[in-house]
Amino acid sequence: MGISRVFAKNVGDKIGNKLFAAFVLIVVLTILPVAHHVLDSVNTFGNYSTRINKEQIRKQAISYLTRLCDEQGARHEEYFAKFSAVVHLLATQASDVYQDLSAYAAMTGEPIPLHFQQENRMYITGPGEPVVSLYWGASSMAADILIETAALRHLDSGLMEAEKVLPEALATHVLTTSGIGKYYTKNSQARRAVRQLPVATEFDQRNGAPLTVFTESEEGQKGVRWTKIYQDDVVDGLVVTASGPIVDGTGRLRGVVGIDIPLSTLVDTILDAGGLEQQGDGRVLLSFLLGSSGEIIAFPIEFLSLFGLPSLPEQMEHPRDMLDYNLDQSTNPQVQKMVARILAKESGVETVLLGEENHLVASQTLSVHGWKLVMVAREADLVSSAEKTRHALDEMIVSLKTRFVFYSLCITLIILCLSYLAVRNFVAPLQKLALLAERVGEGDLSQKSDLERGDELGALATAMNTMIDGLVSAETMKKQYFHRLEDGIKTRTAQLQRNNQKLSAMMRDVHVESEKNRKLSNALRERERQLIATMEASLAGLCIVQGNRFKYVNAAIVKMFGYSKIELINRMGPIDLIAPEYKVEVMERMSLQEERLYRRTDQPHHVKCLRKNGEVFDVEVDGSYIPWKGVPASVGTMIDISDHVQVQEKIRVKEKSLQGLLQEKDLLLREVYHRTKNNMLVIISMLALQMEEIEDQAAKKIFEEMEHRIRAMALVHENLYQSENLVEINLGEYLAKLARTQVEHMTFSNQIEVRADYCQVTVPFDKAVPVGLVVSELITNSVKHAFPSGKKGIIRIQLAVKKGVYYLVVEDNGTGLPTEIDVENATSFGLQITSSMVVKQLGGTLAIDRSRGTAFHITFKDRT
Amino acid sequence: METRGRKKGLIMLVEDEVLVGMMLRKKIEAHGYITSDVITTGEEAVEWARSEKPDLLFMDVALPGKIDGVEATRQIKTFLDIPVIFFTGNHRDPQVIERSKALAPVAILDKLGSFDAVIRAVESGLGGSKG
Repeated sequence: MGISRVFAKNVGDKIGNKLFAAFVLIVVLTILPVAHHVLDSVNTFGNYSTRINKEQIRKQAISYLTRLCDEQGARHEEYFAKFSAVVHLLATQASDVYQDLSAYAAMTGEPIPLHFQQENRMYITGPGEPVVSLYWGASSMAADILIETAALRHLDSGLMEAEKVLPEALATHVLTTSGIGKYYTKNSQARRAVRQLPVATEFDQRNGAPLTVFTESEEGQKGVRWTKIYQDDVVDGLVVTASGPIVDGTGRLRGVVGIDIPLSTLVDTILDAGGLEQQGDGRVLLSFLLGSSGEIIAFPIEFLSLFGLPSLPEQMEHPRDMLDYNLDQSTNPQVQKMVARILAKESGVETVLLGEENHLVASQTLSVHGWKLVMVAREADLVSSAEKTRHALDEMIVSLKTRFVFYSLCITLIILCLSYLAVRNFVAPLQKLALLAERVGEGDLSQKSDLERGDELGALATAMNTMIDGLVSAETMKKQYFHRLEDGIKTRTAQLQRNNQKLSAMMRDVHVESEKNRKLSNALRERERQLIATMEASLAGLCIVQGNRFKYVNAAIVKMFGYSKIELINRMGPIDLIAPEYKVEVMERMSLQEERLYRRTDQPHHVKCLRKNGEVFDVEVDGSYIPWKGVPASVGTMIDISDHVQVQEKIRVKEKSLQGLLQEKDLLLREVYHRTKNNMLVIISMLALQMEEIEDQAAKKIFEEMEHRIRAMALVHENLYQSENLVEINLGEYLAKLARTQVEHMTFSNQIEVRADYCQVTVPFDKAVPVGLVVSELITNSVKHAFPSGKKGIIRIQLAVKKGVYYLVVEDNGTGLPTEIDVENATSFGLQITSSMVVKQLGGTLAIDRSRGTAFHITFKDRT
Repeated sequence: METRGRKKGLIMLVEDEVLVGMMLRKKIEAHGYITSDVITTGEEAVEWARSEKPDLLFMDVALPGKIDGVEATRQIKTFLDIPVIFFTGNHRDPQVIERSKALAPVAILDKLGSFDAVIRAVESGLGGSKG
């Protein structure tokens, strides 16, 4: 009892555990791949977005920098254009003055007095004049110089106006080739410097950059030109001058008008124009200017080391030194390459590694000087927003992952709890029922299940209770049945004892009967022995077959086939002895016999059999069905007829060869007849050919008659080889054809008609020839004599046979045979032949009837 | 149209027995027709017909050699559409007659037959022209 409960508990535990484990496994297997997939997708998405964002921002940065550089360049161009325009205006004005100097000089009235200044040996205006005028061309002022200086006063207002328009300018000036100079500046230092210029022999203003841009190049150039950066003679610092040519009426260069601009002003304007710092959000690191060969025009000193350049000496001796500073002196090979690329192209953006970081370098060519405006920005600064986006995205992804893992774990936990509860709900009642079933199995039927549920478990509990009820009633019935069985066994034992006594009496009767049967059997065996002795003595092969196996064979069969009795009986059957091609036939016959049980077969049957040595021989087989030892068996007789068959075969072969010989004979005979006929035809032809040569009509007649005779014989041969038996021909047909052919040969155009009336009779060859010859002669006769001079007529041939006598009549309806001609005393060769043939060869008679025309009556017998 | 007494058309004479052929030629030419020399084999006949283009065939049925008269005629008719007269010593042989008739001859003549029949056939074969 205790053990079984433990067992039931174990069962419950096991099912519960298994179910629970299965649930856990399913949940884990479902959640894991989903989790893996989701996390993987989120990562991929994050990486992809970051990459796209970075690339886009970099492109934008490059575009931004390029645009900024372009704008700066454009501003610069604008700025220079303004200067150019003013200088151009002044130059035009000055050129007008030089068109007619005297007129302009006269217009001004009093010329400005120029005083000789001893220090520098120049003529110069007084210190009160706003525009400083100078003359250093010669030691004294000639008349034309006076006119020129007077005329040039017209330009003073222009020079002053220009300075107002362009406050950045250091000074405006006019320089003439004759050595006159005019300066206007508000810078007091510059003004002082102008008044104290060095002696012309030391430095002539005409050799300065503003004028040499024109004089050093070809004459007559118009338009404003810019000087290179140069050290000004009047003030400290580097200057650039925009210079316009003054040309007189003859097109000769007379001087220049110029505006000086300090380089520092220019550079500041270019680099700071438009407030670069504010606009670039601090993203542009620096801007600088390079000359057309890479020399530095303006560069923020603090960035020199970044570009691999040595820092400037603390105190530069002269601003001009700056111009010797070139960017290709950089120790950074990347910078050197970058400079080469910048100088080579109009504009563009480069990426260069400066220090530890990548920098974007945009350049733009300024058209007036060929300078390069360069802007540099740190790539990291430009793309910093991309980094920010990436960080934000990374944080978001991490948060997403964390949330996902948390929720996944929660769901898993909930599912597991629910699973546990469900398993408990179903397994606990099952455990109770198992315990109950165990008790019932041990025979305790006193308890029942108290489980009340609507589901399958409830049904199981009810079924269990019903089963317990059933078992209780079965137990009761089993006890009652035991009692009844005991009574039945007692009654049955008594009955068996009685039957045993009866059986002993019956056994005694059987023994007596058996003795009788033994005697009868001995008599039967004797009969059988006699029968077999008879069968053994038979010359014909005898056998008894059951189930297609020999049950008995006699000595004759052993001799016939060469197998021993032991080999044949029970081991072989008749089918094994039959030649293969007869097997099917014999088997069919045997099954047919079986249907007609106990009856003889209708006919002995001829088959081929195989001896043991493989020889095939002919056997005649017969058989019938009889009962043999109580079972139907076929009794067969086999007679070796091989000798008989061989003889028959020989006869057949002989007959066949004889037939062949006969056919051969026929063929040869036919051939002989045919050749004979052909030969005769050749003879006829020869005669006909020969006849052509003969002149004598009598001889010709003889030839013709000979031809007819041969033709008659040839016709016999023709008819012979066309006849069936090659011996006899149809006499009537032959004679009719003979007569017609001959008449046709002898006459023309149906003069004589041939009528034939004959019975169907055949005669042998030797009879046909003489009859044919006779008829031929008679027709020749008739044609020759009966129808003179083309008279028309009829020749009739009649043939009849009566009782072996032939009656032949050849008649014509012509003029009749002369009476002196008779058959007995015929003089003509023809009639002599006729008579001889009929009488001697045919043994017949010949008579002439002259009553109507001429008729020859001939009779002869069948046999001569 | 006659030239040197020649009647319209050239007759080709085929007969294996030369003498029989000669006799026939003499008799036919005596009626004013022009004939070929006697041709004795079927092969020769086909060749001759090809080169000379006769107007009428006078053909012996039985010929020595590989092709007989009927076969020779059949071959000639493939390239020359001319009338044919067959000449046979075996006119009762149904097989020969049947083969000959297949070529639609003007006549099938018996070698032992009358000569009138020969001339009638020739006249008929050459379109009934008379001398």
